[in-house]
Amino acid sequence: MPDQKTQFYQSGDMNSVQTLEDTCNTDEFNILDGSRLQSLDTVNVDGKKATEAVYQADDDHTGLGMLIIEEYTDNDDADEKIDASNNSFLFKGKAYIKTVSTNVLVFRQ
Amino acid sequence: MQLLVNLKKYFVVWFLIICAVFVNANTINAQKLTPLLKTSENDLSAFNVEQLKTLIKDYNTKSVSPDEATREEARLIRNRLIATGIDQIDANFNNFQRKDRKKREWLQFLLDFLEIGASTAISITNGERAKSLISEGLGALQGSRTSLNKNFKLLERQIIINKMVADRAKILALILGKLNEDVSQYPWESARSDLRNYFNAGTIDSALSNLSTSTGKEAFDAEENVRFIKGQPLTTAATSTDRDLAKNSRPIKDALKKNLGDESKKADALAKLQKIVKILEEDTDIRKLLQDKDVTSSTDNGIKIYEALRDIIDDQSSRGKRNIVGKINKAFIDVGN
Repeated sequence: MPDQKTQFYQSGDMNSVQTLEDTCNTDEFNILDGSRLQSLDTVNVDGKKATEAVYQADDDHTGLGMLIIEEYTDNDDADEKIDASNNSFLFKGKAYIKTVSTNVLVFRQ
Repeated sequence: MQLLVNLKKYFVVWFLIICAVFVNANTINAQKLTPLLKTSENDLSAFNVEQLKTLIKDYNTKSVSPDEATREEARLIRNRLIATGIDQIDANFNNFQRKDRKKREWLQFLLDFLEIGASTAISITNGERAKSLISEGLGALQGSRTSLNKNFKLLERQIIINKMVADRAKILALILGKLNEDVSQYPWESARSDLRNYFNAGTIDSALSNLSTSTGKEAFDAEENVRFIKGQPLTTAATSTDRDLAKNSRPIKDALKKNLGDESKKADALAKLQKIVKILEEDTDIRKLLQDKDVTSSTDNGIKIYEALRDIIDDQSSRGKRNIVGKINKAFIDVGN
């Protein structure tokens, strides 16, 4: 089994940040027999907008917290949200929300 | 005397405008239908007619075969025909765009040159209709340009081209999104119809009829500056139910996997996995997926069963078949560990 897998989410499907969060959490549990989300980015797949999500296999998924995803506007806004959060900050990424490219922060609960 | 001077001035202006109209008229050329899209069996690609004749004949034979592997070959042939069609249409469109831009730019330069000293030169701005760009009080030439633009839509040309680019991108995305579909779901005849739409999207008539209040930014959005990736499946969003099924089945799967490696527990783990497969076999689609992996409820290798279910979950998650993944997860939860 490979140790990394990439999912491509249709841009028209992701109608909110909450939906993106639910999707990423679902795929973390499901694929590669348990995995961790590494990155989110906006790409073009065969002419269609898509959000690229890269997952790394994770042998020990026990007790792993859920992903929390938030939108941010600029770097100042991002810094404020990271400082204010009680969750562990993982990375900054981009995703299509309602087909619009959106900056997102990804945390681990 | 002054009257003679004015008449001479306006004669020069009108003469130049008439020349411009004559040149511009030649830019409005109907685009010829590329041969691959014609329905006559004799009209095939100019690139390699014999090869395409053979391909289409081969497709017609293979697409109706009861054998799945043969139909898969037909799918590949169909995709090759689609690629050829796209290639021809793109070549036609790119050639049209180049010719049109040169003549349009020359005309704009000429008209702007004649308006030296005017308060505001008419400029092409993406997203603005010609009427809104025409300013008032610039005299006879402005009046002339108004009627010229009304007839020939000079200042709308960039908007029209932007619309063509955007519409073509959307239809191309639609076609490429169907390449993985079986020939029974997306036969060559349907693909050819889509290609005709793709061709038509690059025509002025189509762009004018489809033009909405969207701005020229639409063309930019359709071709955003992002990484381009080919040949990967797109998947769908998950629901909160999908999430909960995935979350609750995870510890059960982990425990079963661990028990398969424990001599004292592996028989029990096998029995549970066989029970899970028995439940899933009631679903036609999942039964077929399991059969493709040579797994049934009688399979006596627990690791083989586990890995088959794991791989099906991975694959179906990538293809947006979240309902199948959900059923598998629910079976794990129902049987328990």
